Parts: sequence; C-alpha cells; structure tokens
Amino acid sequence: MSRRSEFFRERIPVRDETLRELTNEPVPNHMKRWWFALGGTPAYLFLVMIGTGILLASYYQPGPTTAYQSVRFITEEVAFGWYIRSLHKWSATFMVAGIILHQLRVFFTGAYRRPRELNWMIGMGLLLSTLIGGFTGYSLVYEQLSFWGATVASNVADAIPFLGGFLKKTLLAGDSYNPHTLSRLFVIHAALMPACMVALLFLHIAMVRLHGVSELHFPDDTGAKRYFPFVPDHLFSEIIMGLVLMIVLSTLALVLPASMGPMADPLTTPEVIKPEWYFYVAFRWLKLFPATVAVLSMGCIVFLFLFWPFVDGWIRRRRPGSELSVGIGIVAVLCILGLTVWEALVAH
Amino acid sequence: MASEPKTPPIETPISQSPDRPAQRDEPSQEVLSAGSTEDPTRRDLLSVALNTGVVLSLGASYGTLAGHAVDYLVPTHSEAKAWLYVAPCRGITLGSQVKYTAPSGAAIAVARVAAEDSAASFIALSSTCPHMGCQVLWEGSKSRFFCPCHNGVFNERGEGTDGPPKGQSLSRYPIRVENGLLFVEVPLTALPRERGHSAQACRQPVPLRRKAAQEAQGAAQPAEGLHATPAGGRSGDESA
Ligand code: HEM
Ligand code: FES
Repeated sequence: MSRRSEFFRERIPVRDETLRELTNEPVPNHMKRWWFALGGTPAYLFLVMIGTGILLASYYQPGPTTAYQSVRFITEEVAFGWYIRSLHKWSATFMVAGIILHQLRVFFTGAYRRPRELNWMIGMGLLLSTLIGGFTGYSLVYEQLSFWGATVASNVADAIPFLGGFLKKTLLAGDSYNPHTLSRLFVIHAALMPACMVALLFLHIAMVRLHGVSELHFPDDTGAKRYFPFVPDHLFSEIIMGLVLMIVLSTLALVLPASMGPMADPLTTPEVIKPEWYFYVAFRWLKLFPATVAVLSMGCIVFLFLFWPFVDGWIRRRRPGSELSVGIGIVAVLCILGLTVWEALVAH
Repeated sequence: MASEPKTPPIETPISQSPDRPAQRDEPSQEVLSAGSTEDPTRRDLLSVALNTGVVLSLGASYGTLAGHAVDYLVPTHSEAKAWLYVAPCRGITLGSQVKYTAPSGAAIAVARVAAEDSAASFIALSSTCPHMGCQVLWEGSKSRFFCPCHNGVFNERGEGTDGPPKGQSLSRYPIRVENGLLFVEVPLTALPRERGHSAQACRQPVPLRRKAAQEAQGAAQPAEGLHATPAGGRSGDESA
C-alpha cells in the first residue's frame, strides 16, 4: 500500500468493505426504465438551483427600492446574467414538474406502501418546500406578480384559524407588505427552504437506501442478473441524464429567457393576474369558495395526501383487493388537471 | 434491515488508548448501588421526579429563547395615521362619489349616503379587497368595484355582492365633520415606489395627480398635493 493511501486510511477510518457496501447498492433492473428513475431528476436540478442561486445572490439586493433594479442588472448587464437567471428559473419549473412526475409514479406503482410510508411523508415535505421555494423565488423580483402574489399568499396564511395572524406577520415581517418584507422572503427562499430541503433530501435518500427501492418485475425482465450496481452503472446514467437536462435547460434559456414584467405597484393590481402554472389549481380554488372554506379545504387535501399511505392501508384492510386507492388517485389527478387547464384558459 | 449494525463496531485508537478508558467499560451508577438497602420504588420515584425536573427546566430555557426569536421575527410597529381634510360636505352630493388619494397613495372612495351634513352621512371606502388584499377597481359603467384577483364584486357602498368576498365589505376609514368640512383618518406611510427609473419608461405614465401625491409623501404639511376629484373625472388609471 502506498504511503498516500496509508495516510488517508489512518485519518479517515473507513474500511474497504464498508465503502464498497455504501457505494454498491444493488439497484433492481426495473430502475433502468427512465420512468422509475425519475427521482434523480429533481435531485440533480436541486444542485443546479443551488449553483445558479448562489451566483444570483451575489448581485441580488432585497428591498423595495433595489430588488427590481438588481434583477434588471443581472438580466441586462452582468455577463451571462441572463443565462444564469434563466437556468435558475427553468430548473425551478423542471424541478416542480419532475417532482410531480416522480410522485405520480410512486403513487401509481404503490411504492409508498408499507414499510415505506414515512418516506412518502418526507417526499411530501420536499414537494411543499419546493413550492414555497418557487413562490418566494418569484416574489423576489418585485414585479407586479411578485407583489400581489406575496400579498395574496400572506392573506391565505391569515385565513388559517388561530395560527394565521402569526404566520402572516412572520411571512411579511409586519402587518402588511413593508420595506422589510423582501429580506424576509429572501431569507426563506435562499436559506430556510434550501436548508430544509438538504435535510429532507438526506433523509429521503437514506430511507431509500435502508429499504432498497421497491421491486417490480416485468415479463421481459429475464436473465439471471436482476440487479445492477449503483456505482458505476446508475451513477453514469444519472450523469448522462444531467448532461441532457443541461442541454435542454440551456436551449430553453436561449429561446425563452427569463424576462421581467412591470415593476410592483402597491396601488394598482393588474387587471389580469396569474401566478406560476403550478399554483393555478390553488388560485382557481380560491375563486370558487369563500376564503376560510377554500384555505381549510386545501389544508385538508394536503393533509390527506401527507398521510395517504396510512389512509390507503386502512382502505385496503377494510376492502381487500379493491382498486379504490387507484380510483381516488385518478380522480385527484383529473381534478388537478381540470382546474389547472380551466385557470389557464380564462382571463378571470 | 438496518436496525442491526452489519459490521462489528470499529475500534478507534481513542477507545483503545490506555489513559482514556472507554465509557462503556465503566461500571454504571445503577450497578454500583444495586446492592444497597434503599427502597427501589422510592428511588424510581426520585429519578422520575428528577428527570421531569430536568426536562421541564430545559424546556423552559429553550422555550424562552424560542420566544425571544419569535418576538424578533414579528415586529410590532403601528402605522402612522392622521386626520386629513377631504372636501366641503356640500361638494359631495347624494349618489356621487369622490376619489381621494391619501399621502400613502391609498385610493379612497368617499360617498354620501344620507342628506344631513354629519359624519354618519358619509362613507370613505378603502380600495383594499377584504378577501386577499388586492386593489379593487371602480367600474363606473357598472357602478361597482371589481377585484381582478379572484373576481370579487362590490356595490357602490362597498358591500360584497359576488365572488369569494360576498358578504364581506370594503373597510371604511373613520370620518369626522367639522364646520361643514369632511375629514378622514388615513395612513401616512407607504412603500417606496419607483421614480423615473428606466423601467418606468416602459409603462403607462403615472397620472399627474398621483405623482403629486407621491411627492407629498412624508412631507411636513400633508395638505399639500392632496386632491379630491370626482370619481367620474378619473382618467389614465382606468385605461391601464
Ligand atoms: C440555494 C438555493 C437557492 C438560492 C441561493 C436561490 C437564489 C435566488 C435568487 C437570488 C433569486 C432572485 C433573482 C432572480 O429572480 O433571478 C431567485 C429567484 C428564483 N428562485 Fe431561487 N434560489 C435557490 C433555490 C431555489 C429553489 C429550490 C427553487 C424552487 C424550485 C427556486 C426558485 C426560484 C424562482 C422561481 C425564482 C424566480 C426567478 C425569476 O423570476 O427570475 N430557487 N433565487
Ligand atoms: S383579493 Fe379580491 S377577490 Fe380575492
């Protein structure tokens, strides 16, 4: 053994077998199908978000007099600023889309079932943190949508019984939108949510490792070897996926770069106002019901999905063999799609 | 499964070093006193009480810290307000509406609802939607306020008639009438808004009277630059 490896062996007391065991997680063959390895996409995009986010944060200045100008500066004056900003924005969009697809595949393959219930709940935490990250992200630009989005969101929080007033004040750093609000949103966006997500991602992946991915068998899955090693096989696939994603993101950044709407005007709400596409459902919901009803029902639906694996277990214990859970999933997807399309098609 | 360690615990040089015996080799307190004559239930009770005490005091200490953090995060400053002159009562006739711009820029719709010249005869409506806080627009042709956020509709008295804020009302500013003159109590401070930056050029021009009101922000004499214009005379904004 060389002196150098001797040096590290002594300072990092990990045995060879342990190292091999840590990296050579056997991955079942079905994970070669992209549909099943979707979870890697948001994980990769998260790294892109951190990288581009740190770059953006080196010019961004929170505050109502500075935010809009600093984003304009990034977009129009800094070398490659438009590219970094567009990458950040498109990764956010893809990340939300990737998480939704990943969650759909977990749902419809029943991969959340015993003993993996807790990992589904951790995944819901990741989904919610990403959505909060997305919302606080576009609030930072201080364009019209940023301002009115933050105003509406704080009042959505306010509609929650008991806790609401406190949540609203904490989110806005005061009773209403004020000069400290953007700093608060920036901290949530660039520190709190990324920190939560790093912790949740760690737990999520640790749980996947502890349980192993759920196994599925396909008729064309013949051959004696049912597993392939994580390192290097799966890692290489992920790296290739990552490169393809970078090409797609860069193309989008070129063709549809992040632009800027008119600056926030606290005295005039634009006559037509829409949030990001992933909030269309919630936005339409708010138009359909009075505030408290809308907010409480949304809360209940989120809770139902948070505890879904247990609800599903209960259903399957009461009616063994029924496909009710799949039915509920299909209805939920159709409702979400329907409300999103509805919101996308009309002005008001 | 992973609850059981797959490999035996790795001995590190520290646990082997002779002058620092590993913790687990030391006989514990429990073992030492096992043979004593004390009543075991009394000892259990004592340790339960002790543990509870420790947990409670730790909870109280960290709770206090958390409380301070919450106070830090939720500032409690109240908005500066003042009584400002709007118009002579006679200038506002029954059924008409006067638009008043507060120094904060807040648009206020003042209307007369009864004939005699007393505070109770007037209402001063905020333009902030009681649903989720967007700004309502006055649609003169339909005699209604419309909120573009979730399609809220209010009549000329500010009562919600359709959409999610149905049943709620636009909030009303306090009103005072003195010597036939009408005053409202309004907020003075506002978020800074853009002034003459390049982005401004891309947008519709700000109506002159609002610009004047902006300039009056924070001025010692708020009466300057305050205007009351009949609602019908609005320009600029509505085309936005
Ligand atoms: C360490 C992580 C992150 C940092 C440091 C960071 C930082 C920033 C900064 C400084 C901005 C404002 C500049 C701009 O608008 O382009 C921004 C915008 C934004 N961020 Fe992040 N971000 C991070 C992670 C995320 C995550 C996880 C998401 C959620 C999917 C996200 C979504 C967004 C969105 C949607 C915008 C608005 C983009 C735009 O309109 O231009 N960010 N971020
Ligand atoms: S904010 Fe006015 S209807 Fe929702």
